[in-house]
Amino acid sequence: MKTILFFSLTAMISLSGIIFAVAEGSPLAGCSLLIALATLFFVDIEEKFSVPPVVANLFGFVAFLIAGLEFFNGEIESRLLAGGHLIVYLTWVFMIQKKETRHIWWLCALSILQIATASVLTKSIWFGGALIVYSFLATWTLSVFLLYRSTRGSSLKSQNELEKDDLDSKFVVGDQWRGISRDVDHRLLNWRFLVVSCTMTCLGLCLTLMFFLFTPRIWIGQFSFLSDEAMDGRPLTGFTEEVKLGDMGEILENDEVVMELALSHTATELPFTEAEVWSTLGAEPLFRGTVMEKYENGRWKQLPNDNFQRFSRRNRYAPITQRYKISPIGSAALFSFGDTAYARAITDDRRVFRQQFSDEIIRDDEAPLNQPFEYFVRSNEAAFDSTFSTQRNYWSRFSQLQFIGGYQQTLRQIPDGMDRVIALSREITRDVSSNLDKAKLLENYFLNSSEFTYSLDLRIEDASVDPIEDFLFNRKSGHCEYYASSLAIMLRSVGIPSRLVSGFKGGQYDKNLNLFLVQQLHAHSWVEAYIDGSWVVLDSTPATRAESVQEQMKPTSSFAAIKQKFETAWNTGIQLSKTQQQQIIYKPIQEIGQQSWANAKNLMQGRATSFKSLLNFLTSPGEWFSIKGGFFVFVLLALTSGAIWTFRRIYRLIHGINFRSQKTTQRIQKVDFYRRFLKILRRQGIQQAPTQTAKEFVATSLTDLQPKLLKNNLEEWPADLVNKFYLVRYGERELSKADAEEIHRRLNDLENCLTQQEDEEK
Amino acid sequence: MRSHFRRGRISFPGVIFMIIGLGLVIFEMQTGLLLNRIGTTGRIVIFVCGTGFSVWGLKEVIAGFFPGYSKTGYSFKLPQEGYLYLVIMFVFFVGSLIGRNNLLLLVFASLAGPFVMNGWFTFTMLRLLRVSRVLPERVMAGEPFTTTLILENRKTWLTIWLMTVHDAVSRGDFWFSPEVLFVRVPSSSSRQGHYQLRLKQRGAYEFGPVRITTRFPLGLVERGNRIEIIDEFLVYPRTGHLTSVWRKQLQNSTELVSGVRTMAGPFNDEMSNIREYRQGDDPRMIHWRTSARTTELMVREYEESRDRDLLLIIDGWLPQQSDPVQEENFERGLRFATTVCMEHLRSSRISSLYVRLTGEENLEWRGDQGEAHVDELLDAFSRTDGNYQIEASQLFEDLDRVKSGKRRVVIITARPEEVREALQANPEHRLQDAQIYGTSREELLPVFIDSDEVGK
Repeated sequence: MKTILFFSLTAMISLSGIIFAVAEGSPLAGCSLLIALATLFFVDIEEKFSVPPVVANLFGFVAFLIAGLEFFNGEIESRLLAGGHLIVYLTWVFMIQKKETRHIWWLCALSILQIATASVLTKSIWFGGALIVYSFLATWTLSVFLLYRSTRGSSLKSQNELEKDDLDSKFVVGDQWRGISRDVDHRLLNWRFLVVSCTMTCLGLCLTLMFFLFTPRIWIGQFSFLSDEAMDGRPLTGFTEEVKLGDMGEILENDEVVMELALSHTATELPFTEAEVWSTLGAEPLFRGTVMEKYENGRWKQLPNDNFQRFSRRNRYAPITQRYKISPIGSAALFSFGDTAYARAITDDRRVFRQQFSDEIIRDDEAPLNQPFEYFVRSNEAAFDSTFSTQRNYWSRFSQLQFIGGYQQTLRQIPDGMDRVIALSREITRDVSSNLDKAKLLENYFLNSSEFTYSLDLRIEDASVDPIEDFLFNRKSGHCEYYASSLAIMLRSVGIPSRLVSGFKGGQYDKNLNLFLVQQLHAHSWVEAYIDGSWVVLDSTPATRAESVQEQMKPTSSFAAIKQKFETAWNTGIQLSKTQQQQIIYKPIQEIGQQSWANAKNLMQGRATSFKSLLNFLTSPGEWFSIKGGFFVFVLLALTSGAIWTFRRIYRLIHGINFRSQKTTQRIQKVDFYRRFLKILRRQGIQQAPTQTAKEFVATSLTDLQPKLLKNNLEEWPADLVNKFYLVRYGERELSKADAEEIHRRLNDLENCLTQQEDEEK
Repeated sequence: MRSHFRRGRISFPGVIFMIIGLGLVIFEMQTGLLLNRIGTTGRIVIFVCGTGFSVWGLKEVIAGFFPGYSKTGYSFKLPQEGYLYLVIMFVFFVGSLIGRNNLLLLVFASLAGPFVMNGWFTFTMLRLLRVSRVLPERVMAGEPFTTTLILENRKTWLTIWLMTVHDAVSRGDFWFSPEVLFVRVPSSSSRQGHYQLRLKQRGAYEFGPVRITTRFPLGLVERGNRIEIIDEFLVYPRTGHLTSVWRKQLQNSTELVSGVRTMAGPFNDEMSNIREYRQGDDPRMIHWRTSARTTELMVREYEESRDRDLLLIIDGWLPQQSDPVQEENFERGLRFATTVCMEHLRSSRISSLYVRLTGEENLEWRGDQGEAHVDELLDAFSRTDGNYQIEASQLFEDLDRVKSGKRRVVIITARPEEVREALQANPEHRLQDAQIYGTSREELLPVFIDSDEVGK
C-alpha cells in the first residue's frame, strides 16, 4: 500500500506541475515530473537516497531567494509567476526528503496552490479537463493516504509510554493492542475502494459545479491579478467600457444573441425586405458601441466624459429606422449602424443620450442593466459621422477648444516603451504626407501582409513587453482587438488622433422573424481616426475573420457541435458576471419556483389550469430538456424518494413491532421450562455460575442430588432437559406439545422429590 | 495519582462557526452589501446562512461542555489539516472575489465540493450503526485477554469505510481507550474486530461507552458518534505461589493445638490412601511400587494438613489517608488470600474453606457448595475496597458456628500486632492458634511469592 500511495502522490504532483507549466508556457514547472519520478524510485521505494532536514532547509532558503529576485525584478505578471515558481521550488524540496505524514500533507497543499496559480494564468478549456482529472487523483491519493495512516502498524501503548504520559502516577492501568478488522479478501486496497473513490469524486464534482454556479459574483475588489491599476468598477463583459487585450477572445466563441435589429422606412413605417436589409447593411455591417481613448498597460479605457447631449429632434425624420432590442449586457452602451442622426428609447419613455466627443449612444442611468432594452435609431444612408461632423461645426468655441486641445490631444498619446512601434509606423508612412494616405497605408500593412494571421488563440511570447509590441513583432497572430489596438497606436505614432471602438460586425438575417440577429461571436473592434475634420472608420483585421466567424456559427459535425457547446459553456462560465448569473441561473430558477408554487396552489384549490399546464409540459418533449424540465425531474425524484423512504420506515416499524412481540413470545416459551428447572435447584442451594454452560452445570453441580434423582428415576433426565433446552434456545426449534407436557411432568416430579427429601430430613 | 478525566471541552469549530455566522449577519446589516448587489434574496440568504452557522456553532459549544446533553452523541472535529484546508479555501475565495477571477473561484469550488461531500459522507456513514462487545467473563490481573467488538452496519445501501471504534475502559479515575479499525463493513452486515488488553490491577472495570469515528475519504473532517453500551468487567487479583514454608507453618500450628501426631511425608502429612496421579501433583508423592504394578502413575494422598478445613479471615482495614505503600500492602494481602483460597480448593476436594472478608462490604463465604460459588468469592475479592472503620475485634465476631477443632484459622491483616492484641484480649474466641500474617512484603515473602516477584 505504501508503494501505491507514493505512486499516487507522484502522479498528483506531476499533474499539478504539468498544468502549471502549460498555463505559464514555460517548462520549469514541468521538471516536477522528472524530479517526482526520480524521487519516487530512489527516495520513496528503494530508499537509497534522501536529503536530511538541514540540507532541505538550506534548499528552501535558496528557493525563497530565487523567488524573491524574480519578484522584485519583474512586472505584475512576473511577480505572480515568482510566487508560482516558489511553490514549485518548495515542492521539489519536499519531494527529495524522506516522506513522513507532514511532508505528504505539504506536498498536497503545494500541488493545489500550483493549480490555483495556473488558474490565474490561463482561461483555456483544457484547464477544466485537467481540473477534473486532478480531482480524481487528489481524492484517490488522500483516501489512500488516510488508509495508510489508519492501518500503519498496531499501536502497542506500552507501559513505558503510558508512564511517560502519566509521570506522577504510581499506578499504571495496563497495556492495549490496537486491532484491525480487514475486508473479506484481507486486502486493504481493492476494486471496491477504487469504485468508492471514484463515486466520491463524482459527488464532489457535482457539488463543485453547484458551488461555482450559485456562489454570488459579489466582486469586492477593483483589481486584476495581472494589473496594478484599479478598474473603474464596471462589469467585465467582452464589450464594455474597458477592455483588456485578450478579454474578447472568449466572447468570440459564444453564439448567444446579443441584439435583434428590425429595419424599416421612417416615412412609410414599412419593414425592409431581405434585399433591402442586405443592401443597406452590407455583408458585414459595423454596429458601433463603446469608444475607448486611453491606452495603458495593455488596457483600453474610456475617458471620463460627462458631456451628455440629447439628440436633436430635427433629425428624427432621417429615412432609416433601426429598431433594436438588446439583451442585458451589463453595460449602458447602445449600438447603431451607419450615420446616426437620432435615437430614442421605446419602452418606459427612457431617454437616450449621445456623448458629445466620443459620439457614443448610451441609455438613461435609471434604465436597469439586467433587463432587455428597446430603442430605435434614425439614420441616413450617408457615410458614418456625416451628421455629427456637421453638428460639430456649430459647437461653441469652448467645446471646440475642448475637442481640439483636450480630446484630440489625448487621442495622440502613446504610452512609454513603444519606441519600436513608433519606429515601425514612421517607417511605413515615410513616403506619404497626407494623414489619409498614412492611415490607409497603416491599415493595409495588416490587411495585405502575409505575416499576420487571424486567430482566437492567445499566447504571450514575451510577457515583459507591451501586448501590442508582442503582437506586432513576435506573435503576428491574434484577433480584432490586437489589430485595432495596433493600428490605433500606430496612427497615433504618426500624429493622427485615433480611438478604439468596440461593437459588432456582421450578423444573421432571420427570414421568419424578419430580424437581423447579432451574436456575441460577432463582437469586433476597429479604429476611428480623426482626419481632416471627420472620423474615418479603419478596420485592419484580416478578412479571415469572417471565415472564423462562419466556422463558429455553423459546426460541421455533431462532435464539433458538442465541442462548441462545451466551449460556449466554458467561456460563459469563466466570464460569468453578476448580471449573467442572475439572468442565466437565479432568474430561471426563481421563475420556475414561482410558477411551481402557483401551480401547486392551483392544484390544491382544484383548479384545472394547473393540470392543463402539467399536461402541456408532459406532452411537449422539447420542454423536457430545459431548466424547467430539470426542475420537474428533480421535484419528481424528490417526491418519489420521500414516498419510498416514508413507506419503508412505516413498513419497518410495523414489521419491527410484530417481530418483537413474536420474539418475546418465543423467548418466553423457549426459556421458561429451563428457568423453572434452575429455580427448583436454587431452592436446594444449587446455582448455575455465570461461567458455566448449562451442560457443565448439570454435569458437575448435581452430584449431591444424584442419590435423590436416582431414587425417582430422574438421574439421566437433567441432561436430557438440557439437550432439549439447547435445541429450542439455539437450534430455533419449536417444542412439541408432547415434549412440553413431558418436561412439565418431569419438573413436577423433580420438585416433589426434592421437597419430599427435605421434609424427611427435617 | 493523575487521572484522565473525560471533561467537557471547548469546541473550537463551534466557536469559529458562531463567529462566522454572527459576523455574516452583522456585516450584512451594517453594510447591506448583498442587498445592494443582489437584492432582498441575497439578504435573506445571508441571514439564513449566518443564523444557521451561529445556531450550529452554539450547539457544538454546548455539546462540548455538556456531553451528556448531546442527544444523539454525534461529534464533529476538524483536525489540523482540515483547518489548513479551510484556510486555503478561504484564501482562494477571497482572492477570486478581489481579482474577479472565475477560474480561481472554480478552484475554490473544487475544494469546497469535496469538503462538503466529505462531511456529508462521514455523517451518513455514522447513521444506523450498532456496536456490541463480547468480553470474557472474568480475567486475572496481568493476564492478556481479547475483547471482541462487533460493528453492525444496518444501512441497506451504503458500505462504511475506515471506521474506528474507540472503546473506553475505566476504573475510578483512570481510563484509556483501546480501539479497533474496521476497514470496510458492507451494508446490512457486520464485522468483528478484536483488541487485546492487559489490566494490571484487580477491580471492577467499566467498559463503555463506545465512540465510532471516521475521516473517510479525505481525512479532513472527523465525525463521531457515541453509543452507550456499558459493561462491567471484573478483574481478579493475580495469584502467586505458596511456598513450602507456608505448609510447614500450617502443619505446626495444627499440631500445637490439637496434639495430633503425624507421620512425616513430603509435606509432613499422614498418608491416607493411594490414588491416580493428577496434573499438578508433586512428583515426590508418586508411589512407584504401585505405579509399576498398575502401569499408571499412582500417588500417595496425605490427609492432615491439606485436608483440614480452613477458615480464612481477611482484614480489609486500610487507613483513611493511605499512602501508596499501604495500598500496595492491601493489594498484596488480597493476592495472598486469593492464592491461598485457590490453592486450598484445588488441592483438596474434601476439606472445606470458609472465608470471611471484611472491607467496604463484608462477605461470608463457604466453599463446600460446588464450584459455582468460587466465582462469588473471587468477585468479592475483585470488588472489595479497604475500610478504615473496621475494628480488629470485629473480625472474630460470630465465628463460633464456623469454628471447629479441625479447622485451621488464618488471618491476613495489615495490622497484625493489633489483631494479636485483640485476640489475646478476647480469649473467648479461642483463636489463639490462628496463624496471623501481615501483608507487608517482608512478612509475606517467606510464605508467598507474589506474581510481581517472579523473575526478580
